Amino acid sequence: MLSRGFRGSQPRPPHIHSCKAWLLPIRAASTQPSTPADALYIVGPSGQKWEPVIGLEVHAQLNSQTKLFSSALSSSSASPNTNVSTIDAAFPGTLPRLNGACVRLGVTTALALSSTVQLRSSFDRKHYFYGDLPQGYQITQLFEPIARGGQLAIGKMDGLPYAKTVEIQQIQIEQDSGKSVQGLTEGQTLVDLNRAGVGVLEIITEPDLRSSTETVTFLKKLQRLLWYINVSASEMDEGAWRCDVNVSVRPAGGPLGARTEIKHLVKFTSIKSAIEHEIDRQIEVLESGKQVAQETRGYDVHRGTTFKLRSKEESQDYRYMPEPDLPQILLSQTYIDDVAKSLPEPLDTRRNRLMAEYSLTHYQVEVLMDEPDAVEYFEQVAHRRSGKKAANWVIGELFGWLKMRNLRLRESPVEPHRLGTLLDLVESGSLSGLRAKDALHMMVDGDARDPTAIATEKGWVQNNDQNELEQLCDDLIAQHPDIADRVRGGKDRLIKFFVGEVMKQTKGKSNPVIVAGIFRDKLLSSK
Amino acid sequence: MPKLRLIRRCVHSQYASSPKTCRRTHTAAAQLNCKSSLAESVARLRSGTTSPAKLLSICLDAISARNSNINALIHVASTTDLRANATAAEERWKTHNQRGPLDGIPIAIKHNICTRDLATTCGSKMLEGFLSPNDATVVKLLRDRGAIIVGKTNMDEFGMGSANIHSFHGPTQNPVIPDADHESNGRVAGGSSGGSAAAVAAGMCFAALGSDTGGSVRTPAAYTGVVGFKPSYGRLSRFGLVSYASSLDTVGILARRVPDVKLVYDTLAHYDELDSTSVALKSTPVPPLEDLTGLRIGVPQEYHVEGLSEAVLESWSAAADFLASRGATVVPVSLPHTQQAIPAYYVIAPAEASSNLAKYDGVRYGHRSSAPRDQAAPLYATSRTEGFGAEVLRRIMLGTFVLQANSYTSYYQQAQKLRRLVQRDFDNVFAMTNPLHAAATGNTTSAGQQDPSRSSAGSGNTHKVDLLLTPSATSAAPRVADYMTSSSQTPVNECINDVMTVPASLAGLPALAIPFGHDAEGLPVGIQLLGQYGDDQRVLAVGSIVEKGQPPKRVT
Repeated sequence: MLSRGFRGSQPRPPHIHSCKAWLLPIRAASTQPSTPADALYIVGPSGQKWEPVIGLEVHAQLNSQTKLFSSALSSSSASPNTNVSTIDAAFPGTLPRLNGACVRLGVTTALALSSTVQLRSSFDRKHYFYGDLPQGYQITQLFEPIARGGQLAIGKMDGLPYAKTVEIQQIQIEQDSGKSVQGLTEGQTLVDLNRAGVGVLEIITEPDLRSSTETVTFLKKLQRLLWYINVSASEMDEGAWRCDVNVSVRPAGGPLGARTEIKHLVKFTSIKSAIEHEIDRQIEVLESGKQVAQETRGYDVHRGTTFKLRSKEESQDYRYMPEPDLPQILLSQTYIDDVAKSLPEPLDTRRNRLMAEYSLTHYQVEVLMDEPDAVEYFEQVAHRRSGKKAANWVIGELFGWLKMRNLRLRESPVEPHRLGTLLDLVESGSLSGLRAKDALHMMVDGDARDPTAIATEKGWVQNNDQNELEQLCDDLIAQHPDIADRVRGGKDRLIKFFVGEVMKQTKGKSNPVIVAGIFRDKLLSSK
Repeated sequence: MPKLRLIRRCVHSQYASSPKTCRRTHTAAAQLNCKSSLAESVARLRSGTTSPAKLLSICLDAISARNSNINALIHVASTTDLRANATAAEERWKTHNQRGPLDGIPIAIKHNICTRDLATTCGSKMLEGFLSPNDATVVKLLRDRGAIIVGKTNMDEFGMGSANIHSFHGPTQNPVIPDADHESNGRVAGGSSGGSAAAVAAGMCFAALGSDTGGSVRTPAAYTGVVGFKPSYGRLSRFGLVSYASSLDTVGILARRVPDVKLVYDTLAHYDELDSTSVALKSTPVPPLEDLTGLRIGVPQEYHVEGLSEAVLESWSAAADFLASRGATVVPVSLPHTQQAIPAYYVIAPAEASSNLAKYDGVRYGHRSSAPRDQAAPLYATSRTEGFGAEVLRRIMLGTFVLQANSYTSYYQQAQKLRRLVQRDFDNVFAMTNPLHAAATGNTTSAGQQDPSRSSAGSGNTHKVDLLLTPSATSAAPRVADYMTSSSQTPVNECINDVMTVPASLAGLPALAIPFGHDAEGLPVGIQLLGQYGDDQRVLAVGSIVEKGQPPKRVT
């Protein structure tokens, strides 16, 4: 099950930017007082109560191996314009060919969001001219998307002090554009088409969100869900994740107000402050007696403010048209059932199970669930072992060391069975905790041997041969009958003397706890 | 119903008593020449009485003698390469290792079908010198079977036009009038595959590939007196055919005789996974026919339009008579939405064109404007204005308009509805169930209960027919001079001519234009056979009989 993620001693893939998004655990809600949902009104300068209304269009790149309509690789981290086919560059005569893997990822997402998969869906063209849009249109799904409806619940466990369900409007499969890069000379633009044609999932929510906190909580959970079901990469940078946020405010209980759309937000922190700024701006506009203009806005990361990009009148007419080069996607119920069977257990179910089955803390569960494949990894390590101890080693030791090395778990060379063996060595007393950590660090740094081999070679194995130890203890008791008598007489602190002697004679390779136990048995148990 | 006269005349037909046919004579002993058919040449190759080199030199001679006047071929492959290919093919024929009947046959390719070794300009300044990195699937299939690609043919820019006067490379002259002066007594070659049709008519190749979006193979075939076939949509791969209107575009075949077309069709009709609109159909082979007893031919009344020339009407009537003389039952049928086909087509085709041609922005290939750019005139705007000709710009503007949010419902969606009505008209008259709709709609008409693959007169439904017979064009080839004037003043005139060809395009049906007689000036006129979707082989089988009945050319 884990073979996909763990490459053993194979060379690591080139590693790019993965450290940035390392572990963003969703903190427990305990720091916030429980807030009822109806107290989300914002009081404006004039004392009027306003309710923000927020809807999202989330764009998540599909992690299919090849692009949506060509056989070029989806990887955007390659040198510019190396993963480009003639289809991606829209050469005359080329035709798109749908990648079935992308449809499957779309259906997987729909099922994970309890969305209704449409048995019949189709592609449409959305037209606009841009240097990095080779066809002059984007192939997307407007009229008949892959799925409609659905929802995602957020609540206490996600860091929100109350429970809330966000409805999904529709899910569509579409292609990404290329990237424009400023050139070396004034006015020069360079185009990289590696990203052009990569499959993207657009998830559109109903305007159900009421605050920046709700929005970010929802997005974090959605992002986690998408990589949890292996639809999307976990990195939110490199344009793999984008979000357009629709914001409006209305008087408490009033009708919906005019909305603005903030385009191309990438980071959670930007999303949060962009929404907050936009809410404040709209309330100010309204309270000064003016109207909010329906427009598209951008977000200035440095100023922390939104700014006008274009008005509704200036907005593009995309001239949507059904895509004539691609027939409809016809799905059978059998296909959908098959995808459903491949879905992992739902996130909330898994969270509760981990807490109950392994006695993990909420924090530990969050950390595990925030790292791709970590739960599966942990459960393999914890199999027939103590869940608490396994969690300490996986989260505390392994993750910590990986982080120092800027590695994700999926890039870790330490397979779960080797970490398990290491835990067993510690548990049986053959290896001290400190030495075990040393061994783990060696494994993370590429030592592909079994922990036992490492410990043996390093001379770290503690002597735990019971017969040998007992013989040694008997000999010592015989050599020091006076001290033995004093122990028997109640001076059990003197057992330390015997333990010390054993450690001396075994050059420190015996487990002092076990040795002490033997002496206790021999000198005190008869009492 | 005055139009029924057409049918009644069957009774008094010249063929009523005798099935004897009149045709151009090719005696077996005669040398092959630039009028010889592909099928005959293949027979000669088989018997060893001709060679690929001989066939090639017939074509090269015709090219050097006439192409400068006709302007059919824009690019001719290097003679050295052509001769080398012919020699290789000759070796294969000699050792009986030929790759199929087309091995060593010179074939020309329309300029909107991609070839790796010759430019693919689509007749546009926008793609001047554009060399595709891939061969189109149809070109690859031809090459795999040993066919020799002689060159790339002239066309209306991006396939937009019916007269081949809208080409960046200049107009194509119709070879029916030898050494005509284009402006004074020249006739249009028809479009948009005018170069392919003229090349076939003038003997520069034994067959040519064209493309047919609304009649672009059939109209020039009719005007130049050759056979033009638009197969069912999806039967020939579009991969490598530069898109004009994707839902209508079809690779078509032009040749001098129907069996020639069939040889090329059989080579090309394969499912292609590179084209998602390619259709895998199990096609029922139709044996060569002589007797047409039991076959029902429908004559759609709506094609008897105002402006149909006397010669065309006569040709149509004579073809009906001939079919009846061979045992077919000829009946009038009605396709009530035929008139709506033209407006539907001139919304859908430009809409798709405006989208398909959006990629020509001067960024990656093709013409890039060197004009100064600014906010008001970005690179793509100046490049497109300079790179496209007037007709293309006109259709892009039209298509852009009908796709706008506030006109989409009233134009594009209405046109799609009309298109479905036109399709339904055809499904209502054909005995064979449309294999595309059979599964999807659960056809409840009487046709639905019939054997879907085959019809017969005994099936009980007397209104259903196997094939439709219509004219291929409203007249013989118009004068260039007339055309230029009317076209520039009222562009709509050029569209009116499409009335014979557009309905089959909208419905994706196989349509075969066959020369059948001549007008008073000796110019060819012809008829068109339409079949149900996927019934390409029957259209070709019956077509090869029809062409045997072609009346002799009157000496004027």
